Amino acid sequence: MIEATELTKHYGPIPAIEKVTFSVKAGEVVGLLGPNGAGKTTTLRILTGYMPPSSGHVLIGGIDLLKDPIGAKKKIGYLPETPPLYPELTVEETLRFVAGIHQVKQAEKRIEELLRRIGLIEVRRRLVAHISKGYRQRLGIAQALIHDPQVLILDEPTIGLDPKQILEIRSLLAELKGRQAIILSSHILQEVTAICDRVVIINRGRIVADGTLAELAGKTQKKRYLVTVSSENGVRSRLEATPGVEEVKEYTTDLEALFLKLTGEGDHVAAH
Amino acid sequence: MWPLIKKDLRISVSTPIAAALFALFLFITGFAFSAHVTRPSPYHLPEASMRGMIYFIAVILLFLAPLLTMRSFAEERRSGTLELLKTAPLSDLQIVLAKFLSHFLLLALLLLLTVEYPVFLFLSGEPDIGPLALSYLGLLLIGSAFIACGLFCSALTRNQLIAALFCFILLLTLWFLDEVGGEVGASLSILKHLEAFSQGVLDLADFSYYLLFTFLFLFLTVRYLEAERWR
Repeated sequence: MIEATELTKHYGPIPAIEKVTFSVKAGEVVGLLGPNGAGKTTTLRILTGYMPPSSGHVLIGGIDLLKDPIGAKKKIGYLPETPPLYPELTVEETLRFVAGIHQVKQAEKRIEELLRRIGLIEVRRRLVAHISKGYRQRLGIAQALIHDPQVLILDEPTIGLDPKQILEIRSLLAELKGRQAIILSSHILQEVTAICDRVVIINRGRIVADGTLAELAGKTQKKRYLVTVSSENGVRSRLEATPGVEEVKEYTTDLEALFLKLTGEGDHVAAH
Repeated sequence: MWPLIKKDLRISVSTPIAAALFALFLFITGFAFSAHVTRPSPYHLPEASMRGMIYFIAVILLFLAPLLTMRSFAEERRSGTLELLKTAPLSDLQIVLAKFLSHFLLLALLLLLTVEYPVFLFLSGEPDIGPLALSYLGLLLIGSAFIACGLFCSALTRNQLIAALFCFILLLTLWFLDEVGGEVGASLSILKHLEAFSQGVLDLADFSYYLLFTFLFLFLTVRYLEAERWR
C-alpha cells in the first residue's frame, strides 16, 4: 500500500535521509523507530506529500505521489506530531471541516460514527481550545480517519500524553488494525513492541534494520531469554555461574538493547 | 474550497480581531463622514457626494488590510494547520483562492456597512448615482489588491506582526510612489488609480491595474507555497 523507494532529502548539503526504501502492506502496522533527529518526521512528511523528496519516489496504493499528489493524498490519513487543530472551532466543527476538504459523502453520519468510536462524544460541542491534550490527540486521529483512508500515517501519536492516555491511544490503534496500512513513528520502544507487526529502524537518515520483532531479535546472533522471577533469591548469581551465559541484565524489553546497539549509543547508555 | 472559506469566516467571527477592526473602521469613517457633510472645507460648497470620502476610506483600508490579513497564513503556519491543508487533497491554488475569497467577503461586508453614508446623501440631497456606484466598485478593487498583498506577506512568515508590518511597508511604498516617483511612480501608485472611479469614470487602465495587482500577489503567494515544498 505504501512503497517508498530510495528516498533522499537534502536540507542544504547534509542529507536528512538517504536512500530510504521500505514498503507497508495493507493490514500491516509498521513502526518507524529511531532516536530524535534521525529523520522520522522527514520521512513521514515525504510520504504524506507535505514536501517532495530530493530524489526517489513514493507510491500510495499504486498512485505516484509526485505525479498525482491529489489522487494519492485522498488515500492518506495523516496525524502530524502536534495535531493540526483550530482552537476557535468546536470538536464537531473541526470534523465537519476536514470532512469538507476531503469531500466525505454522508459526512454527518461518518462524524457521529467517529465521535463514538474515538471517544469524543462527551466533548463534541466543546471548543478545541478547551479540551485536554489527550482529547486533542484523539481528535487528531479522528481527523486522519475521517475519509476512511487506506493509508494511515501517525507521527509520534502518543508523545506528550500521560501513561493512561498513552494506553488509551494504543488500544485505539489496536482496534484500527485491520485493512489499512498503518505506519507510526516513535522513539518509545514499548509502544512499538505493543502494536506493530514490523519495525523499521532509522538512524542518521538511513535504515539500519527492517523486519518483524522476531527477525530483528535473531539478528543479534545471540540468544536472549527473558526470565521472569518472582523474587531474586540468588537466581542472578546462579544464572551467571551457568556455562555459556555471557551476561545477565535486567531488562524492560529485549528490543531496547537492540535499538541502542543499532543506533550506536549502546556503549555509554547501557553501562549505567 | 467552500469548507475552507466557511472555516475562515467561522474563525473570523469567533476572534475579536475582525470585530475590533470593523468597529474601528466604522468609527473613523463615520466620524469623517459627519465632518465631511457638516463642515465642508472653506474652498468648496457643500455637495451631496462621496468624492473626498472614498479616498479617505481607501486610506483607512490601506491601514486595516494588513491587520485583517496578517493571521491568514502566518497563524496556520505557526499552529501547524498549514500542514493539514497541504497534506489534504487540495492544490496550493485552491488554498490561496479560498483565503482570498474569505477575506474578500469580509471586505465586502465591511463596505456594505458604510452604505448608510450614501443613503444619508440620498435622503438629504440628490447625489449622482454613477460616481457613487463606481466609487464602491473602486473600493472593492483596491481592497482586493490590499488583501492579495496582505496574504502574500502573511504567507512569508509565521509571525503575524511581521506579516502586518511588511504589508504596511509595501503598501505605503506603493502609495508614496505618487509623490516621489515622478510620472512612472504616479502610474504605479496604488491610490492614484482610485481617482477616476470616484469621479464616475471607468478607465480600463485603472480597472486592470487593480486586477493585475491582485493576480500578481495571489500568483506570488501560490508560487511561494509551492517553492517552499522544495526547500
